[in-house]
Amino acid sequence: MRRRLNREIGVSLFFLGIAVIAFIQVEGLNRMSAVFPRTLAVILLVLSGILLVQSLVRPPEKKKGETPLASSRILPFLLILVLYAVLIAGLGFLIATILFAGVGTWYLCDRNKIRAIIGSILLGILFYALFRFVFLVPFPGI
Amino acid sequence: MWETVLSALMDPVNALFLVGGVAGGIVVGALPGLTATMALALMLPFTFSMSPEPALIMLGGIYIGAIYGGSISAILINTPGTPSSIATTFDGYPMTRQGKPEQALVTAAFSSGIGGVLGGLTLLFLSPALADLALQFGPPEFFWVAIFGLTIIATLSAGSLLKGMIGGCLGLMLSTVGIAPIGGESRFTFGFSPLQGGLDLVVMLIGLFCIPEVLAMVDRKRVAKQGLALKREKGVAGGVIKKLVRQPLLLLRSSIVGIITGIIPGAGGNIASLLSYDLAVRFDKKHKDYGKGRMEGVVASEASNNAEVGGSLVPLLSLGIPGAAPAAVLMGALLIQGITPGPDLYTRYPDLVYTFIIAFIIANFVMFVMAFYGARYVARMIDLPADVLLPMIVMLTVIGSFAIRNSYLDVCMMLGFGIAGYFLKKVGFEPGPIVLGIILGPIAETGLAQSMLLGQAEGGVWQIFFTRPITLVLIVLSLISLLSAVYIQTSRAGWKAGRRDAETCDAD
Repeated sequence: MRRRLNREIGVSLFFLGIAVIAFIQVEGLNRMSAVFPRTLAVILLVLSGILLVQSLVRPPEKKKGETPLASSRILPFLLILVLYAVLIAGLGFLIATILFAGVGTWYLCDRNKIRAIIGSILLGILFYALFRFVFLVPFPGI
Repeated sequence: MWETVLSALMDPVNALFLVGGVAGGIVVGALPGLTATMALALMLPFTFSMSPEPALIMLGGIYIGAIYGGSISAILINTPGTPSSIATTFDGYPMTRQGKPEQALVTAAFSSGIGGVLGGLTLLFLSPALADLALQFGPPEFFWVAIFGLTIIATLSAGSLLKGMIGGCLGLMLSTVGIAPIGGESRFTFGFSPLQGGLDLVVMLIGLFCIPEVLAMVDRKRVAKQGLALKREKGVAGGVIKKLVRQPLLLLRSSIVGIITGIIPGAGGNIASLLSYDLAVRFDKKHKDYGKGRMEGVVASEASNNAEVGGSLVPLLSLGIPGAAPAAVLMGALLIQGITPGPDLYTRYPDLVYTFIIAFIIANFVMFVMAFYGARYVARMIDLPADVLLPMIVMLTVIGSFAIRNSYLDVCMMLGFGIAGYFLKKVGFEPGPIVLGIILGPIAETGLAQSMLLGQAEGGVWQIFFTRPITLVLIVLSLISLLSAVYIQTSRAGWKAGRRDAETCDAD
């Protein structure tokens, strides 16, 4: 119950923060540029305030099968995703994709190295060839 | 015009994309965890180098196929392939447990086909009429159309109405990033010049609809339990179809529920199928048999969710407002092709629009044939391993988000918003309302600012919003939709409670 309560309060405060920042950001803009985002900031402030009060007065029940916000299984995959984005800029799409597919497959298929290596090379080359030469889609990186 | 439409439809390339789209949609829809929205968002990069006709025909086919495909896993493994098939599990899976999977699959295929065709006919006849009416709209009317869409934003949210509204508000706020359409000043760019052009809609669509699903699947680890091998039984299909033909009222009522639910922006296929199922139970004398393998339960759900597909495209093509999350992705596809959906779509691109609509109706027949003969092959594919599927999806999202503007920043934005979307979903904020907010934001802002300027010229800034006849109708519609959103939320709580009670009884 306590964790759930903290999560709901955290979410309300997060949106309250966004509303306040938005309100401050549009200060000094001309009327036509500011009217819409300012109205939205006020509405968001009110709605987040209601959510905060609601989560304090009547905290929601924990749902059946509910997992933590960031499970130990998801965090390494998030890191792999972020590294993939960084590597695309440095190494180009093809090499970064082969590395991502390799590490991603290895992580998801219970560390089966052979499956990961073969799968990643095949997937990477297949995607590269298909999009580059058949669909003529440009690629990020080098 | 009709000669052009006919020649486009007869083009073998277009026919190939239509068949391929439907087949691909059925496969993706049958895989639990992969929604129709995700299938469409993933296929966007394939359309970049295509001309508008085949691109839209293929995406329409995917949409139709995916919604039907969801019923295959709902019937065979009690896991809806797409949220639209939730109600199909209620009677479809019990039919499988009774040794009647073939009957259930044929029922789903036939009902989906009928519902889909009726939805397509509605799109053909209602959409141009609505677009004609919308041509009379001025800025205040467009402002209220956007508000109308926003009032029912909460129905896109699976959980709390309040969270749906906050999500919609966040989406609207995101739509204001960049140069103001009327005032001309930069907002929320934090001195970062690439943001002055605003956030790209397709990038946001791909990020918010695909990445959270991928991460959720990583969390769950397995996509599905096991594939199934089905044997075809002689005479079963014919018998089922004969039975269904004798129930035109059920098919018609379920399809009408689907079409109306689809036309209301925000209410998706899951709402349509649950509402239709609820009505089927209420109107049937044998209502106690529902939930235990009654064929009519599958008919109600499937006819309705496939009819909803056509319905959801009515506001998209006539007003520029998507009726459901997958329609929002179709809107992205139109924008990629340089076409802005809205009232003047029928006057500027009549050939394209009618080609798409007629192809959409044909795709429903194609879907029926494929479902009739191919469902048992698709059933074997349900067990696609997550370690192959997930990296493929991520690669497609990266390619798709980059290809729009050749911008590496878009790739980072897509991943950033995708990861944020995952965490927001974990705390009860569905991506649907956020995306709808992003789409409706510019319409609402431009309508608001232009109306204010018009009002100023007429001597009263706010009077213009409340004194024109069409705005009054739209205000009433907004109020009705807000109340219906509350009703749907309450009913949904009732359905869940009912299901829990039924499960408790079964367990006992």
